[in-house]
Amino acid sequence: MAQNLINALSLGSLYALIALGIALLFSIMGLINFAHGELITIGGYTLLAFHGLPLAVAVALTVAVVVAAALTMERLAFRPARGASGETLLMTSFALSLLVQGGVLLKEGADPQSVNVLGSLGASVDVGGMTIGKLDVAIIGVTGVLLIGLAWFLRATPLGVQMRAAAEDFTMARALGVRADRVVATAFGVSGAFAAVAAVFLVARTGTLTPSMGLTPVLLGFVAIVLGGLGRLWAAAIGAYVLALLSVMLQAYLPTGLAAYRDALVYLGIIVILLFRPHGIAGRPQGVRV
Amino acid sequence: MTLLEIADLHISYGPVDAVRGVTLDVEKGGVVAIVGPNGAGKTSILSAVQGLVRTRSGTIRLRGAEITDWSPERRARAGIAFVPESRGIFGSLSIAENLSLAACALAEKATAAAQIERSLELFPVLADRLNQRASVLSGGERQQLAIGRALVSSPDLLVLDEPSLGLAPVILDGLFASLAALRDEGRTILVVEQNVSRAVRLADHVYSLRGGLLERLENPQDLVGDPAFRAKHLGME
Ligand SMILES: Nc1ncnc2c1ncn2[C@@H]1O[C@H](COP(=O)(O)OP(=O)(O)OP(=O)(O)O)[C@@H](O)[C@H]1O
Ligand SMILES: [Mg+2]
Repeated sequence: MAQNLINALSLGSLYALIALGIALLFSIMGLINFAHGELITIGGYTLLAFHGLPLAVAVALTVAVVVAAALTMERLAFRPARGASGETLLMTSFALSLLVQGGVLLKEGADPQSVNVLGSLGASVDVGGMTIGKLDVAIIGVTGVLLIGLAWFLRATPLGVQMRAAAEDFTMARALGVRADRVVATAFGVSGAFAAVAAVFLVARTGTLTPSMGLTPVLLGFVAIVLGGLGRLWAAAIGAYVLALLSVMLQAYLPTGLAAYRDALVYLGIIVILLFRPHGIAGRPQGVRV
Repeated sequence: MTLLEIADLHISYGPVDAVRGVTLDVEKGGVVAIVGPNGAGKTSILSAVQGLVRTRSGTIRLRGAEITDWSPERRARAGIAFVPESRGIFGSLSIAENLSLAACALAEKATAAAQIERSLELFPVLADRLNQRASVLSGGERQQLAIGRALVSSPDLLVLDEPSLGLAPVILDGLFASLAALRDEGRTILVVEQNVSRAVRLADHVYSLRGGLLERLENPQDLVGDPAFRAKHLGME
C-alpha cells in the first residue's frame, strides 16, 4: 500500500510538472500549447546528447536548452499571434508541434533510442521493510521544491504578483503598467523549465526516446488540468496527483483479467468525478485565476 | 501647457462609428469632464487615451509626443492612469498587492512605499484591510481602491470613467472631496461623469458628447438648472 502511494506520488509529480507548465500559459494568455510535448521531446534528446557528463551538469544544460527553446517558440510563433483568438493560438501551437516533431524525426530518426541517465539513482533503499526507489524519492522531492518555489515566486515577488494579475485580467494589468512581453516570456520560461525537468524524470523512468515521446505526457497533462479544474493554477497539480493515484491503484488492485481495461477504467473514474464536480475537483465556474 | 491633445479621433467597432472626429485638449493641472447619454462614446474615448481600443484615425499626444500607437503599459509608464467603469480590481490579489501593482509604472521604484502610504492616507478604509483579498470589498471600497491604486503610479494624468457609478450618496461626498483635493494639488484629471451637478462643480471645462460628437459647454451650470438643456445633452427626462 505505502509502496503504491510512493509510486502514485512519483507519477503524480511528473504529471504535475507537465500540467502546471501548460496551465500557466493557459491562465495568462489563453493558449492551449500543444507544442509543450515537443519541449519534453527536446529535453529528452538534449539529455541524450549530454549523456556521459555528470548528471547534474547534463540536467542543468537540458533545462537551459529547453528554456531557450520555449522562449524561442514564444518570440517567433506566439508573440506575432498575441491577442488572436484561442483557436488561432491553438492552431499555431499545433503547427509548431508538428514542425518540431518533424525536425526531431529528421535529425534523430524514428527508431526508439535508449539512454540510461539514472546512475546511482537506479538503486533502491529499504525503509522498514519497504523497497523505495531512489528515483521516486528524487522525483517527489525535486517536484516538491519546484512547486514551493513557484508558489513563493507568484506570492512574494513583484513579477509573480504581476503574473497573477495578468492571469486574472491581462488588459487591466497592462493598463497599470505591467509589461506584457516580460510576463509572457517569464511564463514560457517557467513552463519550459518544468518541461525540461519532466523530460529528465520521464526518460529516467522509461529509458527510451522517440520523436513523439511528448505526446502522451501532454495529453495526460491536459486530462489532469480538466480533472483538477480550469479555474485555478494549483488545481492542475491536484488533478495530476489524483490522476496518478487512480492509475496506480487500478494497476495494483485490478484482477489480472481486467488489467487490459485499466486505462478505460481510469477515464471512467474521471468521468464519474466530473459528473459530480463539472468544474473539476478544485475548479471554479468563472474566469481563470492563478 | 497642454498635457493631453486629442485630435480628430475616430473609433469604430465594425459598422458602428462610436467616436466621430473628437478634438479635445486637457491643460496641465486642469480638470475636464465629459457628460453624455449612454452609448455616446465616452468610454471609447477614455479607453483610447489608455490605449485599450484601436483607433481608426486621429492622433493622441501626451506632452506633445504622439502616443497613438503606444502600448497600454508604455502609456502607464509615461504617466497616464486609468480607472475604468468596472474599476479593474484584481479580486484574487490582496488589497496590498493591488496597490503595489501600480508601482511598476513608477519611474522611481524606491518611492513605491511612500506612494502607497499616501493613497492609504487618502482612503483609510483600505489601510485596515491590506492583507484581505480585494474580492471581499464593497462597490464603494473597490472604487476607493481603484483610485488609490491609480495614484500610486503618481500619474500626470488621471483618467476616470464614471467614478460615481453605483455609489451611495454619503460615499459620493467623500469621493468627490478626494477628487477635489487631487485637483487642488494640481493633478490633471479627465473624467466621464453622469452625476452632472458634481461634474460641473469639479471641472474647469465640461464637454457634452452625443453620438460620437463632442461639444464644449459654455454654461455647464445649465445642465443642473435648465431641464430642456439637460434633456438635450444627457438624453433623459
Ligand atoms: N467592444 C465593442 N464592440 C462593439 N461595439 C462597441 C464596443 N464598445 C462599445 N461599443 C459601442 O460603441 C458605442 C459607444 O460605446 P461607449 O461604451 O463608448 O459609450 P458610453 O458613452 O461610455 O456609454 P455608457 O454611458 O453606457 O457607459 C455604443 O454604441 C456601444 O454599443
Ligand atoms: Mg461608458
